[in-house]
Amino acid sequence: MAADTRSVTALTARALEAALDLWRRVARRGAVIAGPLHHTWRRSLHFRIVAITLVASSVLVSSFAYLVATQSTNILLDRTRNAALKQLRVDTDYAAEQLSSFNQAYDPQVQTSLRQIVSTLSRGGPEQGGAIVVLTASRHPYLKPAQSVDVSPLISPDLARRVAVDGWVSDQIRTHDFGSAPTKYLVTGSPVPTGFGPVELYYIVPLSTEDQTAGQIRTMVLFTGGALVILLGVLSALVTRLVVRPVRVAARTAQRLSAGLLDQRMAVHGEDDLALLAASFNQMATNLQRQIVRLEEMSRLQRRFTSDVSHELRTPLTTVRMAADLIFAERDEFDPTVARAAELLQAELDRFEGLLTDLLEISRFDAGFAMLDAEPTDLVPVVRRVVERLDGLSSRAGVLIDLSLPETPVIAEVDPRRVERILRNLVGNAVEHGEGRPVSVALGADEAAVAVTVRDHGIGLRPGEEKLVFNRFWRADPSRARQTGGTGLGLSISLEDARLHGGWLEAWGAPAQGAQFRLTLPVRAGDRLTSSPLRLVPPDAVPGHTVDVRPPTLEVTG
Amino acid sequence: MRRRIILATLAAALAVGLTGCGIPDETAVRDIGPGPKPGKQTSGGAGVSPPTREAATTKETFTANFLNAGAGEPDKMAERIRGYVSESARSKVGRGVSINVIRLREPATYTEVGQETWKVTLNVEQVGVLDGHGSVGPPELTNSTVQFTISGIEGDNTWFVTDPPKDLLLNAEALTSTYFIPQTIYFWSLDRTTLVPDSRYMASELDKGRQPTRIVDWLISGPSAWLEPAVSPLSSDTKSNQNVPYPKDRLDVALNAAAAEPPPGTSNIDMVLQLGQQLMWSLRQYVEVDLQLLLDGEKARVFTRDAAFYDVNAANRAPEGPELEEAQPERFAILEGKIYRLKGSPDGGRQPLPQLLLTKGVNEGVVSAALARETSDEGLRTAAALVIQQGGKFKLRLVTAVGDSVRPPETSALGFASMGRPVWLKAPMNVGLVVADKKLWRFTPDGQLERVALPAGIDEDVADVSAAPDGRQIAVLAGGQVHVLGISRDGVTVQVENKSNRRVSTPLKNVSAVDWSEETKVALAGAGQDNKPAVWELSVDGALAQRQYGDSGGTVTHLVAYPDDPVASEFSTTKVMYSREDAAFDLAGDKPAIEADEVVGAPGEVDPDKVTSPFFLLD
Repeated sequence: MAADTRSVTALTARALEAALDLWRRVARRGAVIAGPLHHTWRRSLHFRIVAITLVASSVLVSSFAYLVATQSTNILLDRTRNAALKQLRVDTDYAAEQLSSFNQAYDPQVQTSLRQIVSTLSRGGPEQGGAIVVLTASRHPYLKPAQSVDVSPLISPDLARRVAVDGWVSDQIRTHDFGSAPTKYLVTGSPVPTGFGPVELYYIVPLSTEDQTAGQIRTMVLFTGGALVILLGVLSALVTRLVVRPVRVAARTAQRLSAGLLDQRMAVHGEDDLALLAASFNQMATNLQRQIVRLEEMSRLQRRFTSDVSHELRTPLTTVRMAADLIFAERDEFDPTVARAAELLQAELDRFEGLLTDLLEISRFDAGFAMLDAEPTDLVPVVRRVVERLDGLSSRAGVLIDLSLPETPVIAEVDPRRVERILRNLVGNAVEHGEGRPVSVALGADEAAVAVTVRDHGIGLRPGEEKLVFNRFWRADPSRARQTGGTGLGLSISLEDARLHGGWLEAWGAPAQGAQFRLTLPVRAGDRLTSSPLRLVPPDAVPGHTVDVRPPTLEVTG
Repeated sequence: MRRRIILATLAAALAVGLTGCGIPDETAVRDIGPGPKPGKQTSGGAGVSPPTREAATTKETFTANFLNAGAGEPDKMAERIRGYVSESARSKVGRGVSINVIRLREPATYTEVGQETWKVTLNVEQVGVLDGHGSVGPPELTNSTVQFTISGIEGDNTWFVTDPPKDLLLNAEALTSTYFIPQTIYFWSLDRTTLVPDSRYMASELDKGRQPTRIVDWLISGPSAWLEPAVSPLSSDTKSNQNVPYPKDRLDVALNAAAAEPPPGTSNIDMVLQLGQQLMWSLRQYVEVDLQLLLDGEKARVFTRDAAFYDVNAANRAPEGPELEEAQPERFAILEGKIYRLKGSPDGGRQPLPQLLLTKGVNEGVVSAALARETSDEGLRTAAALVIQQGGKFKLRLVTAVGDSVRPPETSALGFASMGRPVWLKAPMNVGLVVADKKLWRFTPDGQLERVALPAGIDEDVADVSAAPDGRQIAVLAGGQVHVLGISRDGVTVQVENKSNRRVSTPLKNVSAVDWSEETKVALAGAGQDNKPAVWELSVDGALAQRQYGDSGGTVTHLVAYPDDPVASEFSTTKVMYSREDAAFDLAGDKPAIEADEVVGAPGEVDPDKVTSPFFLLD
């Protein structure tokens, strides 16, 4: 017994294993098919709704179909069963009446009567619209079963026992092939009381008609269900299309709008919700367009104003300059107080001129007139030149500039004038804010990009100021007089220059640790940058001092 | 994992859906309810079975029992008789379902041939052969002595037949005892106008519930051999579809379609109706309320005891009832050539004679007479056949009447040296029979006489003739033997069917007169074993024989009987009148002899010795 259980368990386990294996294989194959489907599922609302409708309606329809088919089969079967039972009861009464007068089973008339009863009850047999009737006398082995045709395979031992031994009226459905085709039969049996003890009467009805009808119902339900599911699918596809199409149009229009095609509008049909959506969308687009155009106009006017003002100021400035130069040249002859004023005038005029130049430059950028004049350039001499030119300033400030340049030339397609301007700006700023501490300038390169970092050890930047430094006229301390330093536009112009190259200009800084600026440019003009050869955060930076864990960077992309 | 479960569920649901909603190939046994319980015992139970060997302790009872051993179901008969025979001698016992019916003329004699071994000698009369269908046919054996040996078993107190007779024997008395139930089944006459009875004997041991089935089987297997030429049997293809359940208010008889096949040469007959009536009459004892006939391919028909039912048997006069049982026939007798009523008639015989006898010149010189009445299409027909003596010759004077209109009397042209008692054949009553010059003649109401040929094997000298109440059988007394003959009728011609001849064995000697006393019985006058005149009643197959009256006078010359209605025969006593030299008798009353004062309306002093030839008005 235990061994049996074990072997059964083992067998079950093996079967389970095989089933799992099969399942895995099917799942793998399924995954291959499901991949694209999954993609479509995620991408298409249309597909999703149709698929959900199909699945849901399939489940519903098949449940309903199953219910209908089962119920109709049950009704068919019940009717046949009831009819058979009714007939069997009548037949049993008849047989009982016919056999009631026999007290002994070995009377030769009994066998004759059994035959006669079966012949009467079968009414010519199934060929003539009658039934198959069998009378058996299992308690009397010498009495042969009386039957119109030999149907003994239809009477199962179970049924025979239930009827003959337990004395129950019972039925059973059996299938047997009598030569033509396997046919289902309803076998209903009843004991028949007689004078010599009970015999058994079986009433056998072929269920071919019922089977056929059930099959027809099943087919009909299957077809109807299938058609219904397909219809629902098509319907949902159509309806979804009705809803999704305007949404798609709206999406496309929105895309175009965002791409700058501001006169894109949706077509409005009718007065429904979708029409309302389209109308609202159009309204929004119109408002946006108007706003954008207004803003653009305003911005254009402002830029134009800046440019015009700069130009208009230039002519009088030139005259003032000439006069101031004359005064400055003759200052030695003036009263020292006046001489001092002449000097001040001269210095402020220099600043004013620089400011105007920068304003003009910025307005060129704003107007989109800035052009990149890229050519392969070795950046080593460029860096060196910038440092040399700022030699005077640095020595005045007492700042040492530490240069870290590669031995080999670093060639990149850049506009040398603009790169020089950027570097001059960065190094100048470093010297200016270096508070007398050394400034390091490093040049690095890899296959795709070149980078220059400028490090100072001044007061550094407060968190958040890494981005603000590039704003126009931004100052770390607004109260500080604009006496030292540039115009406040230098880093903005540098940023615009770097952007023109498709490069990055980023800043790092921490209070009391100084700041570092990094310029990264692609080796080939127009290439997209992915990384920089130099680190933005200097290696000597103390991380704990920064508020922001993530190095605050400003990524400038073309 | 969840997705797997969902998929597996879906797959399972699909599988169930595809296979689950059809009719299954095979189901478990479904119980509907307990089977029917055996109801009340519907069968009436079986009657007496023949005695077994062990039942007898004396040699006399053993012998009697041995002769009754076959008084049961035909298929068990031979085996039962073998049971009486010692093992070594059993092979000598015959087989088969037929048994020879014998009547003991005198008690058995025993001769001791060894210790407790006796030779039994029987003086027997061979009555006939009881066949498997309960019919007693003509005897096949002729021996009048039967011998066999019986031995007692010591200590056991039982007996064995050690040397059995080679034939199966049955004492005729068994047929009238509790072992058998006499039955009458009916077949249609050849012209299909009336039913003709056929006597059968059913073993009492057959369960009551199966008796109607047995009768239907008999009907299907045909009439008794001797009657067959005179009746119209069911088609030979007839088969019974089922047993006839009994007892039951409605008897159900189911036959195949061949049962209602019209015989060749007939048309316009409602065969189903006739078959139903035939079944009704044959199963009369078993029909509680009505009978349903189910023929293949026909609508079920129900038959009851209606007027048509009583009409189709010509032997029957009226429906069952107390009136019929109490009805008395009209009695007449002849005194000095004139017919007078007898006191035994209804109303004391005070009514006048029937109209047709009152015509002048009719009721004169009468020797013997037959008076009969029958309802016909025209009305009530009355016919009188009077034997008269004219110039030393016997002639027939015939008078008929329909209602009150009497036709003028006709007298036969032929004269005879002797003439017996005439009889009218009934159904229809258009011809009569008479024995004249020891030959059988038929006569018609217009006075024509014509010879009727009798089949070979019947003595040429005919002494008496009698007609069955159905008009399809006659009894002829010829050469001292009684023959029952089936006849066919066509108009006024009467044809005796050649093979339809049944000699009736009778315990009487010198039979002198015969008349039908019931549809299957005849009354005979002759001499008993003591050689004294006696009147017996016998069934036409000879099986039943009952002495009715013993006389001490001379030979009976004239005997008439009034046949009982079949439906009343169980209640009524046999009505017989006869006359011999110097006396006439009516066996109905306490005093059989007809006294002088019983002749109503006779002038002057009546000499009872002169009262002759009493007769009944047969209606």
